[in-house]
Amino acid sequence: MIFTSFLPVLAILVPWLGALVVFLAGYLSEKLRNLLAVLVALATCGIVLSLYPYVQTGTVVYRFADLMSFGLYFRVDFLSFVFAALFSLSWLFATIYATVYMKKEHAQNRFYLFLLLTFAHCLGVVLAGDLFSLFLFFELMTFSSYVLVIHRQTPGAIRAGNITIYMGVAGGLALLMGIFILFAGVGTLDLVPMLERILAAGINPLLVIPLFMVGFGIKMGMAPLHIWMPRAYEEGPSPINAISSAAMLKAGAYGMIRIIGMVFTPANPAVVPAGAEVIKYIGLAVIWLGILTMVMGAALAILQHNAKRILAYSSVSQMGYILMCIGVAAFLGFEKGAVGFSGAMYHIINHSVFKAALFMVVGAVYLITLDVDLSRVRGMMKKVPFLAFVFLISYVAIAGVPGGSGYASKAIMHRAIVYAYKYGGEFTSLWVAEKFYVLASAMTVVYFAKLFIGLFLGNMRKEHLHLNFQVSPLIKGVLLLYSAAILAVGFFPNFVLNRIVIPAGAGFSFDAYGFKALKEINFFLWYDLQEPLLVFALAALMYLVLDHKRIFDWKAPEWLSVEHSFFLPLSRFFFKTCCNFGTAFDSAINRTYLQSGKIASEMCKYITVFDSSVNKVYESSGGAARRLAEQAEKFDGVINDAYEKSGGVARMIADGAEQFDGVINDAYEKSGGVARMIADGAEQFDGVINDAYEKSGGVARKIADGAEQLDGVINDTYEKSGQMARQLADKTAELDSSLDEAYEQSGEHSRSLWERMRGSQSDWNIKNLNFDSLLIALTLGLFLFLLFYYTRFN
Amino acid sequence: MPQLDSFLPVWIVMFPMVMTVVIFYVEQRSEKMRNALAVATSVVTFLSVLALYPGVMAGKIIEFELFQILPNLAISFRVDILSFSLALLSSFIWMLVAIYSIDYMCKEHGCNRYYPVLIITLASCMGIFMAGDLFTLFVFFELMSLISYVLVVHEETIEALRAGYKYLIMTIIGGLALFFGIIITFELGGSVSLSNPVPLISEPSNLAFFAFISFLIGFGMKAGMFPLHVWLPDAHPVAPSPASALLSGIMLKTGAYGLLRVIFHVYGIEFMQETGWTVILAVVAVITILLGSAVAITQENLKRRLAYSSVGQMGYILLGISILNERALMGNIFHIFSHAFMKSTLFLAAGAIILKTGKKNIKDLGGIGRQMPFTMFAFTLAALSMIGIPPFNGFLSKWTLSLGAMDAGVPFYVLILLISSLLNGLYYLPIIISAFFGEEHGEGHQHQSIKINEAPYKMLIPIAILAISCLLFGLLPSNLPFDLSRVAAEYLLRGGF
Repeated sequence: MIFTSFLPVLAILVPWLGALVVFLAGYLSEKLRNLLAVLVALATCGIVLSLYPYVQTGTVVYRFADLMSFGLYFRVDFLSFVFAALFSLSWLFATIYATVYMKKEHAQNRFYLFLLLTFAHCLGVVLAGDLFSLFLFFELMTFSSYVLVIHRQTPGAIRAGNITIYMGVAGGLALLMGIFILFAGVGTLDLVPMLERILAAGINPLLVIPLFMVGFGIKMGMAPLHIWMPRAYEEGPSPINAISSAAMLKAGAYGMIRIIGMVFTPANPAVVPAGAEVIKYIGLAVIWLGILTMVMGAALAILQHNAKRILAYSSVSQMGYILMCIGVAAFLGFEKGAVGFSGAMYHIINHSVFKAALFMVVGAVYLITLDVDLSRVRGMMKKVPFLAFVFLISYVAIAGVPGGSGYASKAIMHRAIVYAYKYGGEFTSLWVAEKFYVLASAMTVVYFAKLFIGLFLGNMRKEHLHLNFQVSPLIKGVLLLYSAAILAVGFFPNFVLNRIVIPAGAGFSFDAYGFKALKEINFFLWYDLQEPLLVFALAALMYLVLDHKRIFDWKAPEWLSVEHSFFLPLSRFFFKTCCNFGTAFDSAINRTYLQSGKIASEMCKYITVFDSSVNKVYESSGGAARRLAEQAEKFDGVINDAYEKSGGVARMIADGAEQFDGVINDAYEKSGGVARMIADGAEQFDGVINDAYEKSGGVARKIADGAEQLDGVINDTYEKSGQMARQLADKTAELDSSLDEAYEQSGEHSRSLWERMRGSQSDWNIKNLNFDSLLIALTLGLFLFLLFYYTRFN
Repeated sequence: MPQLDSFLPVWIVMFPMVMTVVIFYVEQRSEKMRNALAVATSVVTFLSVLALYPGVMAGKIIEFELFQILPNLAISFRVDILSFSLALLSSFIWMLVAIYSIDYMCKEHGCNRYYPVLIITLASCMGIFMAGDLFTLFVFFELMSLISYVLVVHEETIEALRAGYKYLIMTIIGGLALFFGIIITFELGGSVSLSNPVPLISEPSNLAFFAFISFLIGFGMKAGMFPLHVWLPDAHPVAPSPASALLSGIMLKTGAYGLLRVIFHVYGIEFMQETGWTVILAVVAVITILLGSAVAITQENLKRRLAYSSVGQMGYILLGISILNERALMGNIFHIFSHAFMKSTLFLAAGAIILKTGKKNIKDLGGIGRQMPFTMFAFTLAALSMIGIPPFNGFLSKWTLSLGAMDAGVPFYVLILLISSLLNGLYYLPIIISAFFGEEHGEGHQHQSIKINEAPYKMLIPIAILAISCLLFGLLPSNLPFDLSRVAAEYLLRGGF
């Protein structure tokens, strides 16, 4: 049955809006804020739990069509409900715990804001009905939980946060890539079994599933992608450790179950589609990844000294168990896969409970001592027996002692790996896997023994003796609830199995018969009891050997860690290729451009030389003109002299004429005397003639005077014209020099403008511009012409 | 009797031009009047563009010929859905930037030069988007490119002048290439009008290929396409922040717009699919994406990092153009919107930081989030959107673009987009982290004494509007940019009619 209800949306909206309210309330009063935060968590918890009646018989859906163009889709089936209920309960307790734990921390308003935002996003991941919505909340969760991880803002916290967020972003992108490939192939992102359609669309599961596994695996701490976890856990506050172990890791596991256990399974198990056997191999790979994760996590936990780090590696190791079971579910497929699925689900629930309790205990110790390093904090048992008690109960649970909650889930998980070997066909390697499983379980017992002995037994250091060993009643209450839950599940394992784990398998394509067989298991029989016995025997042996050889204090060399041997070189390589190469490439291009400018400017220098030679020609032509003018002036002076001289000659001629005239006069006077003597009678006539001649001499003199005057005038004119010519010559010389100056000035002007423009002398030159364009235009034109030619005439 | 809205395109282009002159006169007398006029002009322009909405959405194409210079060569205007989308986006962001400038520029010199140039660049930008033929487009393209030189060198420092010089040379190269392309188109098709019912060039030839390369150089230069992007990381950071916002947010897009017009109107989609010339564009786009994103990581100057980020983001848009199917085209046009909003927010926020603290380098930005929480919050929104985190608009465009690439059967492009997203994360997240959670450098550790010291509200409001748009346009089911992108993509694939 499908119910349409707003409840799933409400479950996300309430903590989201509540976060804002709590943030604002924080400015009013701290108590109000804390109270509100707990109330918001409680309300959300109530909303989630109220979904129970619906999911028992069907699914709850709600769709926002077209939101973000794709549409947000919420779909809650029993599996989603189990996760959501687990998350909201964990969050509720963690919030209550945080109100005590965070009392002395800074930026509490921010803390509660992001605590509740992360809550909303985390719920969104499991309530989402398709991969698009799931991805949206997954990314939001990555970012909002970042603020929680770096809460202390110490350099160490920032570094841990960096690794967390960059791995988170990378994982999100791997997820997105998988989503794209899936969506492009099948056209839907719904979380339903659809292996047939995927194979029909030609999608290779070997390509897509690893993408999803990277995306979710980073979140769930799958080896070797777990490296962010120990750091983030060590630096984050304890309530955050509790919820990230109880919820955020599980969000990764949820995605893994949905993808490997659901989307990539056939909708109709009766007809096995062609190519489906590849899923079996993927299942096998996941089993081995799970084994690797659990053994590696446990081994690393043994070597740690910081209680939080031990718990962090323990979480890695426990997630390995869950991963292994998911692998078994895919490996065994329809017929026997139910046991793998149930093991994973059961352990997810149990781990959420006891790991949260453990982190809270360690956090409570931290509140007292402000330190959780095993080499410094000892002997807490005598001072705070309550914490030791809760720790021991959780220890019982995680070690798989009958009576603790972990026993039942470990029993099912052990069955799963045994079944995988038994029914898995020719894969005998799984026999080895089972041995590793036992080994990892024994190691779990060992490192918790180390943690318990280190933290609670032994003698307390002196400086710790005077501390205040009060544990807040709120913390006590929360821890009591957790212990009660652990014991209840431990004593009645079938209740959880039948009421929660097995119904969650609805909607998966597993044979109902497999679930039925599980339902009737009696856990307290010899078959299941022999495994813990073996584990404890092995663990006791191992502890003695390790303690004797002092391996607990052994510091692994750096090259052994995945981080140093793989991730750091990888990131360095990435940076080198990406950034250094990119930057070098970019600057090379830049240099090429500059170089071309330089070459152009080199060429322009020649043009400058040419230009200056033209300038010189102008300058020298100016000089020539001046010289010419001087010559002309000289010539003019010569002409002037000539004229002056010619004036003198004319005067001389005139004088000559006068003399000649006087001579003639004398001659006539003399001839007159003779004539007077000769002819007195003609004296009168002679006198008349004499007068006439005298008169004519006067006229001649007048003519001569006139000629002289004319000569002077001509002389003046010539002098004046000479002066004019000189003036003209001066003017042209002036013009010439002013032209010269103008050229120089304009040259200087343009030079200084471009000098400013180009900044420095070496690279740039004004002429680049013109010449570049010219060159380009020429080249382009030439090219164009060639093209024209070939297209037209060929 | 032509309808009133035929004149609107002319009005939209001419009004800011006329106002430029008015502002030029007014500013000699009153600075307040100048600022008010600049804002008023951009507001009126925006509203005028908005007035085109009913007609354009009804599928009408408004055409108007102003005058003919030569036969077949005219100054003409043409508004279709694509023009309208980009004009609306541009005038909107211009309006916000004009408001932002009032307080930002008050401490700068040369405001009397800045405002008229700002407004005339608006006019030429509108002219580009509303051009009815390639010749008109070219005229306004050159006008915008050359005038924005003044914006680039506004500070008149040595770096600014050098960057401006580089910009100028590259612009001229681009303009020349564009001109060649247009001439060849005219030669082959006999017209350069964008309203031809069939594409102008219908047969592949060497000359047509040469024209394509010329267009690619001309428009790609403006769009910051590799290897013609070298001017961009120099020019954008040196300009005053509001101008950088416009340069990165809007003016880069004119190149992308030109390429869209060339591919769909000059050549036509069948032609492009047959010849496969867009592969060139795709290859260059991929290199542009990776190069821009990778180099951004190594940049120390905030604005320079943003500029390289622009190079990478323009690569997305060019890649979207080269894929040639509906979803990719839609994602591409939507990314034009997204990037305009995101990058303007980032540059304006960077400007607010520079104005209040004078800090330009990323390593000095430790703790700035406590001092300017509002600005840095807006910055964070835009940066997350840049990385492609849902539910921001950057994610939506990347999502649509990637689905387009998957439709075309090239998951390789999706991989490139995702790698680039990771790189975006690598260069944006450290800024945010150190701003909010980092230690302040120098001046001792004074956690408590940090006072909130925000920019004036006239700067904060535009930043806020843009940042909220980043969220809303990603989240809301049917928002205007997304609808416009969808309709425009359909329209282009129909052949532009």
